[in-house]
Amino acid sequence: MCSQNYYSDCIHCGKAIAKKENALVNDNGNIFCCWGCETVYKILKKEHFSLINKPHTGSSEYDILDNESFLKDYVVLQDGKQGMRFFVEGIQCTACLWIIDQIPHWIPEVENVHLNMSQNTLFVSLRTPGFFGKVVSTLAALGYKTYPIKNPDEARHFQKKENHQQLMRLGVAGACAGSIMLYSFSLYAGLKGQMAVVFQYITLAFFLPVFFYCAQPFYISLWRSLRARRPSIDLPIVLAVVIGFVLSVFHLIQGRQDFYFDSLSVLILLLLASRYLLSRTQQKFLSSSYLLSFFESQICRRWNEVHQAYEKVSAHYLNTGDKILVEEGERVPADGEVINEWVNINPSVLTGESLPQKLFKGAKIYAGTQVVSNDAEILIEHTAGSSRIGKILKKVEEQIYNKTPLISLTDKASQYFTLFILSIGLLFFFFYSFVDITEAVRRTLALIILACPCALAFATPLTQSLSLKKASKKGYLIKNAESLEKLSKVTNAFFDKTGTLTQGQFEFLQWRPPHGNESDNFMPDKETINAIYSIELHSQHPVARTLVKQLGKMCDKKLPVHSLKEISGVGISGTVENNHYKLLPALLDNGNDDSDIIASTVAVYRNEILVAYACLGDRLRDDAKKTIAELKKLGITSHIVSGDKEAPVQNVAKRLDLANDGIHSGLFPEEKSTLVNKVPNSLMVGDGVNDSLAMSSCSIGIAVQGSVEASLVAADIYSSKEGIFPVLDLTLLSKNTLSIIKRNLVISFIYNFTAGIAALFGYISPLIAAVLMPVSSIVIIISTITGTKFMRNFNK
Amino acid sequence: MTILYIMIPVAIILASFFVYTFLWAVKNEQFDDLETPAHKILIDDWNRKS
Repeated sequence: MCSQNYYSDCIHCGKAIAKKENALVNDNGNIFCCWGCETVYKILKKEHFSLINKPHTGSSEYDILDNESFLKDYVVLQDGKQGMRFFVEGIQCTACLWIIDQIPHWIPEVENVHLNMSQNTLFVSLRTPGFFGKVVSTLAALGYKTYPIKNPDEARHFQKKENHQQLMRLGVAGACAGSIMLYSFSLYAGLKGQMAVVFQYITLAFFLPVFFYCAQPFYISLWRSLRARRPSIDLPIVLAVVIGFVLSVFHLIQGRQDFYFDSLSVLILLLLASRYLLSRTQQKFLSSSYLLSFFESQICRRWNEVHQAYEKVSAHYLNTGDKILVEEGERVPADGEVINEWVNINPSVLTGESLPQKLFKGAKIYAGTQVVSNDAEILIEHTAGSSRIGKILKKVEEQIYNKTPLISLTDKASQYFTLFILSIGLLFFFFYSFVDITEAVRRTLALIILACPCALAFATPLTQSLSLKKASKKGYLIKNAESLEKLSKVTNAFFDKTGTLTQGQFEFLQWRPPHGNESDNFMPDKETINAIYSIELHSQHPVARTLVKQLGKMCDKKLPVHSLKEISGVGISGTVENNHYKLLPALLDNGNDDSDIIASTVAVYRNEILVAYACLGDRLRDDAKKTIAELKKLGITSHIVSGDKEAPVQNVAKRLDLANDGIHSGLFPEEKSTLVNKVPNSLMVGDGVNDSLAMSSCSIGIAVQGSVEASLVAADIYSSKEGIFPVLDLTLLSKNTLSIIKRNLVISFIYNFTAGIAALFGYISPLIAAVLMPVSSIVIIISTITGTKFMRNFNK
Repeated sequence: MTILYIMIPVAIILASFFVYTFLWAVKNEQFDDLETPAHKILIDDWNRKS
């Protein structure tokens, strides 16, 4: 095992944990992979937990789940009993399954729970209504974050049915192809006479369900692509299948020996199997409609005039004119006006700005922003749907829907190939019909059947699904296979700044000496640190909060402060142990050589003498510079599009060696979108709602780890790995995938071309065709599975 | 060779039986979740016995 991809083993189940951040550590310092393991381990060690006493669930935070109005949208009725579907975060191994399976024992009102580990969804059905809140609070007590999912809409129901249909077609095709093979084998082995005729009719009988039932999807998708006037690989396939069928039936009636039932049924089986595989890998990820409902199901506190208290409701049911309370750390659910004295918010989701903002009474507050300090009381003006973020989301959805579908390389190639083969066939038929008309028909049709780039038709989805699988193993979720091909063509990459190129958190960076040059480990003396800590403890300013968080570790005692004075928006001063301290924001000429981004500097004065600078800001991601340099080598130009002010953006650009013309700052979400839209083959990498519009309007969008739901919906690819290195990794993966597809194209065309020529000269009998077709398939499957060196090492 | 007149119908009946069973299993959602049952088998039933 590679050392950088390994942190420790789970003490309970032994599963390897790749990274420190993913590990859970309990009070005794034991390391676990998930909460399930932690709980089971506790039970086994009999640490203040027993199965008879269910986990303590005192909070009424989730009571909203049992509200009449909430149930209306979320409950599913099953045999007259209430059921609800949840998305559970953090499901890892059997221990999670076991612990969740215990819920009916703890809450007797729960009839049944069913956890689907491949989709991380949980279905709960109740004996008596009114206990969903209890189930969720139990799960929360166990450490699982749970979101209710809206009851399955038409689309999802349809998808399930479609999956069943696909699988049934595959099963029937498999059974028929197998039987046909058995009967054909004896025919090839030289069966003669009456029995041979019987066998021939049996193969026909087995081919009928394949032809009329299993191959249906190809007819339908060909019809669709013909109507949309798009080339499609289905054209040569359907052509081969239909002509093969007609020709074989014709021969059967004539009493001839040339049949293609066996080759065609195997071809259809392989095609169905590879397409099923691809659709199954794609569907593993939650569809975007799922994610939207999470955003709406946020729970918030609304003022109730009758009870004179805040009551919990789903954000979905808020109305204009409602008064709501948003606590520290929560997101604002609707646009409105602040009605309490002041509040600090983090607007980065909407604007990309790195510094927290202070809003006073009467200021506008937007949905999606996060309250950083002080609780906010808000008078709602626009509810979620009509809020600024809501409008952006709606536009995103529209744009996703209207995205022009990509005409894949395979489809394009097959278009030319089909035209080529058909014209050769016609030419041949025209000239040979003077010699022998029946032989001309036979050979032309044999050419069309053999020249169908069939192997290619199933090798492409197979290659794609293998790549998607590899990517998902590494934590990259690619929504569809098309994105892989689009990504390989990207020439311009646009990066968001806050949260994408940088960590997106406002934090303490370093101390700086008051004069002269940088010294690496400058620290103010202990006395000063204690004093700063004690003074800043009294301030609510975001800068002060950050300093307190940082200094809390270094400071040994809290000192009393006299004559404390806070000048709002300017600074703070106070006297500690007879020394007068003043903390003021300072403008500092940024050095050229430090690796972080400085958004704000605080100058510390003791008795009017400058003693130190404290630098705060947003840290650049470690892998940003390397990734951008590597992308440049691949011929991809990087740009920054940010809603932040010019100075911090310039700063980032300078450190990443980006050209000046590729930097855009102070952009609104709409402006980002137009900018990106102007460039063909563009890639947008971002994390916030302000990027989501751009993500949906450019050719491909990647959402990095820690993104908000809105951008997950808009993005084609989501990386659950930290940093922006995945962008490079994914680009390489897509380029390699495409090169395998191209290689398969070449192999397939060489084979088809030779076989076609041989068929024209009459050298190919159905027996040889029956051998050649699977051989070509196997060659291409081997080529696909072997892949490239990069692909083989991808998961190592 | 006459045995074939019996064997072929038997083979066809067997094949259609398996196809029918497969279709029944698909409709019964047996293939919808391939991961969870694999884990479920590892869990002992001690909870119910006690």
